[in-house]
Amino acid sequence: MKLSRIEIQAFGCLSDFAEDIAPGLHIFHGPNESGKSTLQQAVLALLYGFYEGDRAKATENAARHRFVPWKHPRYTARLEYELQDGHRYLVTRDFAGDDNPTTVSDIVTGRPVTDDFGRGRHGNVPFMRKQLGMTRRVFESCAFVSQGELLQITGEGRVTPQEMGDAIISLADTSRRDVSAQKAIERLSDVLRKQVGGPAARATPLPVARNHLAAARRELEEIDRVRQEVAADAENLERAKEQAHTIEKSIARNHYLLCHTELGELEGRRNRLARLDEQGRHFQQQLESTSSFAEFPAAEREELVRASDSVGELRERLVSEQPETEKQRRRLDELTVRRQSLARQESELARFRRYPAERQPDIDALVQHWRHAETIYRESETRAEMAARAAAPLREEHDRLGPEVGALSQEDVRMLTERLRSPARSNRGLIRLLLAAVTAVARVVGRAARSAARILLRRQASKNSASAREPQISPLASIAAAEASRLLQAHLRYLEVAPVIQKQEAEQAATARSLTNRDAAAAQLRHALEGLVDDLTDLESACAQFSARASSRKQLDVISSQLEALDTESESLRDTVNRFMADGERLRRQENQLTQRLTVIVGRSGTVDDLFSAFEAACGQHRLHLEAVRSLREIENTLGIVLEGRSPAELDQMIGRRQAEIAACIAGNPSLEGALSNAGAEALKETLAREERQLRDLELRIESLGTRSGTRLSGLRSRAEVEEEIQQHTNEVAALEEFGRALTIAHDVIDKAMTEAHRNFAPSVGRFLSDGLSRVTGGRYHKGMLDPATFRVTTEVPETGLLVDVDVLSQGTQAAAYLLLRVGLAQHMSSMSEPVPLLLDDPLVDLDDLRIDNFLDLLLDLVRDRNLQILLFTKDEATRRWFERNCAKDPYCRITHLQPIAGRVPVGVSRRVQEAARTGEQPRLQMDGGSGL
Amino acid sequence: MVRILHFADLHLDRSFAGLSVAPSEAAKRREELRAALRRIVDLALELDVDALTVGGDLYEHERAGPDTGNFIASEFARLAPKRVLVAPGNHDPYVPDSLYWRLEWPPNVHIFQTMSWEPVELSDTLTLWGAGHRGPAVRDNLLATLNVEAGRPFTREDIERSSVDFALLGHYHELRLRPQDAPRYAYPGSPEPLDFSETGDHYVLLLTANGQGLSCEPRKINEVVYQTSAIDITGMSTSDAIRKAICALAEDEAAARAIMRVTLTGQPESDLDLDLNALLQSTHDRFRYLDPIIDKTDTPFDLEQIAEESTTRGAFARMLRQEMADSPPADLPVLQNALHYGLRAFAGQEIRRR
Ligand SMILES: [Mn+2]
Repeated sequence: MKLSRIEIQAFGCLSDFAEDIAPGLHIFHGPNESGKSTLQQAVLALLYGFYEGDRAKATENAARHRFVPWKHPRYTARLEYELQDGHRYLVTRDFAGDDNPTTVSDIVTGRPVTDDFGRGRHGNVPFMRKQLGMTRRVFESCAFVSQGELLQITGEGRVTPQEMGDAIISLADTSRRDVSAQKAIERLSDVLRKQVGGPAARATPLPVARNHLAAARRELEEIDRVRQEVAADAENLERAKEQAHTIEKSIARNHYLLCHTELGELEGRRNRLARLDEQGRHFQQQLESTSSFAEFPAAEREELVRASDSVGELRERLVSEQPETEKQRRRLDELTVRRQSLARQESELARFRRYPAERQPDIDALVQHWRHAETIYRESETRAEMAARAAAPLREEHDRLGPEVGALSQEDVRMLTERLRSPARSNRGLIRLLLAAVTAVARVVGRAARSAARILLRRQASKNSASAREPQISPLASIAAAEASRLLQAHLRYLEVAPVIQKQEAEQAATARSLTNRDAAAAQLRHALEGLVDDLTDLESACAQFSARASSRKQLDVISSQLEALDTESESLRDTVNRFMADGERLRRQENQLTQRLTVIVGRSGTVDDLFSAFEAACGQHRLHLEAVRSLREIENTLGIVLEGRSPAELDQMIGRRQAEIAACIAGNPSLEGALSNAGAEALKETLAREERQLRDLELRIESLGTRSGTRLSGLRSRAEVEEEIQQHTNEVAALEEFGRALTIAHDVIDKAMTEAHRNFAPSVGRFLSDGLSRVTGGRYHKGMLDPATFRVTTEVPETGLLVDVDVLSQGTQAAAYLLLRVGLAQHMSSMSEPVPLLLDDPLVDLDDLRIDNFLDLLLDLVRDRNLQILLFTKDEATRRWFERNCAKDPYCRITHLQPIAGRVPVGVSRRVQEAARTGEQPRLQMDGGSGL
Repeated sequence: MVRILHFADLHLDRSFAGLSVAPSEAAKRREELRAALRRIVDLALELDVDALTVGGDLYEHERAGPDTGNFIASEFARLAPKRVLVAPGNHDPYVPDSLYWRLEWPPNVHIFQTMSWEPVELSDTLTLWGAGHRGPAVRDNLLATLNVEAGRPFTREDIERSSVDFALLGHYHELRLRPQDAPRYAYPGSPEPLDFSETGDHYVLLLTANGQGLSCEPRKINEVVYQTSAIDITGMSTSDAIRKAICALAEDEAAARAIMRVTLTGQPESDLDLDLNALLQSTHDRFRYLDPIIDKTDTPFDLEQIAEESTTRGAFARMLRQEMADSPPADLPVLQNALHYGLRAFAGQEIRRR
């Protein structure tokens, strides 16, 4: 940024002031009260207004009021400036109102651009912050040096070291960069883009070179491929030649073997021919010797043999059947006699033909039954007689005892026993005896006898029941013991007799029943025989009569069946005899016929057998004749086959040829002699054909491989040429890539340097300080260092070599150091952004003349070398003289002489300002310390 | 008396990729190699030698085509009936697809096809034993099988201990006679120099065997010479001064006929605008061939002073120098160039590839 013109309607003591500002060094020279400091403050107010912080309205107003014009009503000013990019602007500010309205416009186009910067508080237009990248506080700390404030870079109400550092860093990080570096980067990018290029731009050198390289490599690959094919062809050619050689040798050997085999076969054929000739002669003889039988009627032989066989068979059978036939004839005669006798018997028995002999079993059963019944009757009759004999003497006793004691019951017997016991103990022995007897009887008779006795007693009791029942108590209860003894003895006897009697009565009854049965059986038998026999009076004879008749009838039946059997046998015997006789007749007839035929054929007479032998002999001769004919024909055929349509002479020629070929083979390759093979001629021929085919194929292959490798490489560039091209392109690509890499590195490092260099401002500013201090002090101090944390400056004392704070040195050295620090900071910031115009208000008051000159020389160098703009406000005559010496003719430099302004009191200024005006001091902002005038 | 002319390492159809030559120039180089073979055959005819021998690397197998094969065959045929004995080398091994194998060679040409020694009677008293490569590398000590104990893998002692009278070898591209005073074996070197490292003249060998023994005489054969010159441009403030310095080199006739490479050294003036391409264009026609000029000058900037500056430029210089100090040596050229280009950019000068 360079200020080019300032116009002030009214600002503090200045009014209607206008001045073009030099682009380099502009010195405003004038005595006290000529408005130098006011002009400097006016420039600051034009650049930044009176705005300070966000809530600084009161101090801002105070500052504004300080410069209210003394006479002039219009508290306004304007400033023209130019940026490094060539744009020029005009800023106009009206400080009269609280909002001191501001406008910025483009001088070239006349366009108002106020709104481009955004409105700040109370109408502030922060164009400086946008265009220079500096806040007012930072600007005041480095570029704006007012009277007496030289040593105060930081401190109360000023920028802090931290703020200053941040401002520099933020300036370094903004896009506003060092123009020369920016241009260097652009130049490098341009070269990279145009002279190297990348894949995005195909026509640029690097992609073009890469494409050429790739194409050349492909071509080389193609050449190598073809060369490899040629090499492979050459290998194949050699192999094919070797194979062909091997096959040729094999063919020679197989040819030899084939000749050998064929010769053997031909010779074998010739031998066979000789054998066939011999056989032919033999059969010719046979043919001739049997020629008379050529026409013999051998065709009838079969039939005649059959007839002869038939006669022989018949004859044989007749001889073998003869004895049997005789035996049967005799038997037939016997049978005839026998039949006659049987026929006689049959006629005699003929009258029993109708008798029912079939009933005999029934009758026999009835007879049996009858006889059995008879036997039973006889036996029971005997038993009844025996029982009657035993019972006869006892009957009377039984009849007597029965009514008295037969009805005694068991109870009765007990009671009697009781009676016997009680009164007469003296009779105890008797009673005992009785009881023992009764008990013994009872034991012997058993249950049957007891029951029989009981039956008898009951019957007796029931007979007496009427009387017995009358007195309820048995009378036995009161009988005397003697009576009781007697009764018991009687009772005992009754029990002994009663069974014998009963048995006799039962036997009598059984005898009566048997008799009845016997009579019934007799009546049955009689009834059965009724009608079959003549007399039934005596049953025994009637039975005999029946049996005789029945057996006669059976005899008749037997004879009849015998007659039938005889008849049947006779019939068969007669058939056999008849057949035998018929066969004999047939034999005679057949013999006759055969004899007749053979006589005709053989042509002489004789027995049948003689004739037949003669016939057979003739047939044999005929057969021999036929065989000779057939054999001769076969030999003829075989000869044809063996000769294969050639003549024997031709066969001999072939043999000769084979022998010659074999000789030639051996001559060509002696090692073949004696070579043998199991393979037949056909197999050898096949092998030979196959090998010849292979050989032909190989020869074709050899020929094609030969011609192909000759033509393969034509049309391709020489490999060396392509290799050179590849090398060239490879070099080019490598060089371009390296060029690109170097350019990129340069580009990137510059980019980084732009930031890093300014971020790390202390060394840079330190270097400026060192150079400046050395120049200003005439080489006494040549080392200055800045502590970025405190913004203190140290330097090396030449006498001691120690580093000391400049604050302990002379005022002049101190002033020089801090002025250099400010200029160094401004210069540093200018190098990374817009150049900052330096506004210096009498900074050199503490320097002696020599140092002033040195310092001014340094400023002039900055103006000339670094293109800085410096506005220097001074009353110093030495400075004026220096200017006239050094810059009078420099169009970049100018000096403006300001005249004193007298008797002016501003309207409405503060008491302090009025005081200041009255005492003749220049009104100043923040003027603590400093020497002022 | 028997006389043999021996050469090796002609490297026909070689690629000159190692040189930064233009394609047309490389083709010319190859044509010069062919011309050398013509001259060798001419020399053999002129000297009426009994045989021409080749110690390998007659051509480069992977680059040579049938055209080259036919050229060689026709040149050798000019010598008939004098014999040409070829020992294939590692660059031209005897393999099925080689020119040696594939081509029909004139009857006077004999190629040693195996790595075992093969005798060729050149006279009643002189037998030449030969062996050739069957592939690119040889591992066996060939002399060991010749009752000798050598090729490369063999040692001087091997040859001295062997029963051979003289070994005609190939491989090294400069002339080597060993031992120098009374040679027992010799590398003739390449007939034409093949790059800037092969300076000076090049030879073929003439071997003479008479009753007394063997003698070996090198005969200069090359037409081409490679030469390298450096020009110190310190104090030359204009391109024109440099141009004149280059042209001054050409006043030496030998240099004008050489294949020349010029390197610039020294400290240039800061405002000197060095355009190498323009320099080459304005000077190359003074020479048989002038290789692209190599710039090995120091930087024209006063780095010490610039690094002291408080400007961005100073920071740039300091940062790059710091980076150079921290980087491996391989990265230094790039960083140096970056510094150079950056400073030129700061100075507003045109940036040219170095
Ligand atoms: Mn070589």
